[in-house]
Amino acid sequence: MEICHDIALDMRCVRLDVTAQDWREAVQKAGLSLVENGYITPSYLLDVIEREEQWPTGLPTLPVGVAIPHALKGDNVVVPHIAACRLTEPVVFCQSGGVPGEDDLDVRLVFLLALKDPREQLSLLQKLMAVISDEDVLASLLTAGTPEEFSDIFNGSAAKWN
Amino acid sequence: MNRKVKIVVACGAAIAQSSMLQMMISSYLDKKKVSYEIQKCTFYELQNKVKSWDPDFVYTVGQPPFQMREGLHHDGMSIFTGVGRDKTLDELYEMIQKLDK
Repeated sequence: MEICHDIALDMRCVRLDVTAQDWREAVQKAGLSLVENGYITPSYLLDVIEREEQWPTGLPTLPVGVAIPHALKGDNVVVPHIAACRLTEPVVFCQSGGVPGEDDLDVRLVFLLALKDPREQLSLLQKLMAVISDEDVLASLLTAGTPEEFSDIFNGSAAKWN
Repeated sequence: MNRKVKIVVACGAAIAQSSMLQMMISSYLDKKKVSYEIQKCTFYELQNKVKSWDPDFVYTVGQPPFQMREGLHHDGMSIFTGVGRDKTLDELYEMIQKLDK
């Protein structure tokens, strides 16, 4: 499979050392950067929260849990993109495919996806997959000092499985 | 094997997670030179998809809301998170080899 590098994580959409009381606040804080930079309209975040309630997106990755919230529809996406939010303290998300309250998971990294049509954003999903399934990359994202460093690590990670 | 192996990947909404699962499984099977066909659907569509398309394997991110016959359904979470991925993919390859017989 060919790896494309056409969509890169915009460092303006990286928020480091964010505090949030719960997953809803984490989603909103992660998504604010997408709103501020014109990638989504604020309504998109409501779509994301609605979907997360129904189909949670927490993933039991190592060394920390990750969540990849996204909405069911791309109506409120202006330009497809992704936002990253690193939480100072873990926030509880429900595990993907799990039952809220039963399959809770501590999450430190939130990647909020703003997609229009997943078939057209495969390169972004590939990159995300390469990042979240690589312990070393996640560990380095946890210690990245600046949004620029964070986005460089994210954008520089290529799929190892090929 | 004379025919293509049929695989369904499913998640809650069939947007990001099943697409990612599809990429990972496709990439592995390409490398192994396995001939396959892979389709993607939501949990809502899964039961009908299983009935109408009769796949060899179903991989999901999380538990689907109904039971499937033994050997058909497999948890794809490890493929997704990378934790235990190689084992899950190698098991898939072994199961495909057994389909031949």
